[in-house]
Amino acid sequence: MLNLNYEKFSLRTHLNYENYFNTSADSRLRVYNLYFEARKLFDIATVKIGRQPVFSTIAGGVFDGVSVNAAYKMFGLDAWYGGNVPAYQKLEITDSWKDDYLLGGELKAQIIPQLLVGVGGFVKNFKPYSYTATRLDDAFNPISVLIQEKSNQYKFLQGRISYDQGEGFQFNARYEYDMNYQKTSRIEFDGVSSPVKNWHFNVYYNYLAPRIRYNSIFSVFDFANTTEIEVGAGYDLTKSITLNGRVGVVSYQGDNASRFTISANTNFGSLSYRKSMGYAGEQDAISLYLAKSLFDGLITPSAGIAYTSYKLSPDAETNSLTTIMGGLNIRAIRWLSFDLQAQYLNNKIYKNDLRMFFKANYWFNTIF
Amino acid sequence: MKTKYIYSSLTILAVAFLLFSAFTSRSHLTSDSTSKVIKFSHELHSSVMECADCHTGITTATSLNQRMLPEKSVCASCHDVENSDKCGTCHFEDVYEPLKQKTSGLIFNHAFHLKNAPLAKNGEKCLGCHKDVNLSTGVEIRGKYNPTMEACWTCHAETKLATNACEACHISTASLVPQTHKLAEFSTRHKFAAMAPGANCMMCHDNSSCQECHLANSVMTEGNTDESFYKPGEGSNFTDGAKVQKLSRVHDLNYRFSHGIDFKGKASDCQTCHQTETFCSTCHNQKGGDFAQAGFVPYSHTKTNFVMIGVGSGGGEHALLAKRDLGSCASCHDASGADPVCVQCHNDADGIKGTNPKTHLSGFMKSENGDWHKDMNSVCYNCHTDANAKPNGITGIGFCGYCHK
Repeated sequence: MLNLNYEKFSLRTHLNYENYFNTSADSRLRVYNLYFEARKLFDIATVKIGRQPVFSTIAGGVFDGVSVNAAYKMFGLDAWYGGNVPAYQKLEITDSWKDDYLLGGELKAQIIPQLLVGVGGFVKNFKPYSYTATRLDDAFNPISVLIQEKSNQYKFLQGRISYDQGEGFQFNARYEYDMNYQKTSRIEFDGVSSPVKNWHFNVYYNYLAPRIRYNSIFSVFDFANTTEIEVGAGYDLTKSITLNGRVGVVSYQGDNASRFTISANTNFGSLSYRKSMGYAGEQDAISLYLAKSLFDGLITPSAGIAYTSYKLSPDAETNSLTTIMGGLNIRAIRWLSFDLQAQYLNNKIYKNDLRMFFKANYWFNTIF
Repeated sequence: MKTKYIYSSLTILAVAFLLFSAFTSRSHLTSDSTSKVIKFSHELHSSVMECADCHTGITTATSLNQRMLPEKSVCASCHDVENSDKCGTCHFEDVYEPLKQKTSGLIFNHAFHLKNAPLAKNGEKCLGCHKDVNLSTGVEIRGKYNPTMEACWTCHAETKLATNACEACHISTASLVPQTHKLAEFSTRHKFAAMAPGANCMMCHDNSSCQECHLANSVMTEGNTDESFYKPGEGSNFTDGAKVQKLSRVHDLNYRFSHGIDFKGKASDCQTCHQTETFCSTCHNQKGGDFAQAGFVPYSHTKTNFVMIGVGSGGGEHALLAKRDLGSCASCHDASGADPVCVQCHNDADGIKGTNPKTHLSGFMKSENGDWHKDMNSVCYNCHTDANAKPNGITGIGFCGYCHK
């Protein structure tokens, strides 16, 4: 990651090179970000050009193109257009802009300080790859057929409302309409409230149709939707310790899956127990992670232990696995630090597997 | 058995450390400790004197851990501290301790800010940061009247004015997780929090931060083998690039082996981060083979009744599972450029209605919505292969005759 910044302008990069030294080949350079950014143009807009991230329910990831983020008075606009990034984030740009692109945006209005309303939509198209397959003719003789599918795509309209009254009460709702299938794709709402000091309560509901690409053969099957409801509660035991619990139930056609989690979070780590039941599989998982800085941040030791017992369906075998992690971060000076980490893994595949990691971090960023 | 003892011991040690650290941390000190030592009204005193008249060390203090609370001698410049009948004016009964100076985890230079900060230049000085403390009838300003991080950010976001590196102000960045992030629902609802009016995520996170999880690029590689179970900490934050000392993680160490339960259980919206049609296949693959045809198959696929052949058989278990969660099937079997495994059975070669596996919803295409059969690229012709199955075919013949009489 290397950023060059000059006042309102930046060149931002996020690259990753990896190589397997125990094999002769398979080195790979991934380009996650490589874009130019101009901020606060005319005090209203930020523009990015190049390979950059985008976050939405379907179109998450990186793309090669342009995005605009603008705000003026009570209105805001996010918009982006560009080509899909090839596999492994290769530094190549799509050669099929007609079929291989992302396009989306959202117009937002903050009607009152607590209330935000947004409407938008997005399209994600995938370049189709032709292939030859064997089929039967009407005399049931095998024939070779060239399959040339159309571009697969997602095409959604979206609306949302957010109401935020601070810690006391927050509410969010989102609706997605699938333009290809001409039906509701998702309804989601979430509310959180803290009516009593130190207590937090949360309710989440989600109706979701399967994410099936238009023109995919899966689009022609008869399928059902899922609904999910989850409730949670948190309690601040002290300023440093929060206790949490939540329960979720997912309903499928003719079956249910449920899960619950209890956890304790502190400034120095977390302890959690999680159980899953029903259609999705059975699982008992406990994990504990710790990290604490000592000597004014000079060293930060960390540790983690996790144990999971699970089976993926009622009549499958039960598997168990254990992982232990220990690490040390040394920050000799503010812009230079070192990570050392050991990971131990033991399950049916990795028997007493131990790995060591070392990483040096130096920040090259400079303000010109 | 020996292993069990080792695990148990490690767990007990870790829990003990967790509890000890949490209960003895500096941030856990109660904020009213000084208020129980002395009676004091900022409101009353601020009307007759300057802050620095009492906080005499403030103008030269370069660290928050220097003594900045008034000594008894300072009070004595106005109060008659020798008169033992008037002790109760300031002291609670039988409490005669010095004011408690707390230690701080922040790096802050009062001397510098009083001299150079824009607020000081505007003549706002103390009240510019300690807003409304002059209205307080109590002694404590810590917490309630200390500036919020958002307030610091009004200058520190503009890097030309003041750096926004976390470690410029925070001695340790290992435990800078806000309280909201520790709540049970945060993993689900942070997407809403990030979009809410007044969202201040950018104070700590820049837009690369989202990618740390939402691209999963540092944790679960497409090889998904041995190199990246756990991501050593890395920096975020826009220009200065603060170094986060706490090791961050996207999924649990064990997640690689049990993620199928979350996927089926909709515990996370996997598709937000992962393009399931390609991401899943890179692991659920058989080297050199076609993962859609042969790979690491789910347990359900190995059952004898998973696929039942023949019209009227109902299709077996796979039909039930597909109806229940078709997205799950598509995540492996919908690879562009590979023949879908469904076509092996769900085909219609003879164009005779009613002799093939039931595939479509009742009334499917009745409204003729969609363009699935207007040209040879339509998905219809993946399965319907009789000689007349083509755009502009002969009405009433073969596949066309299903609808066009």
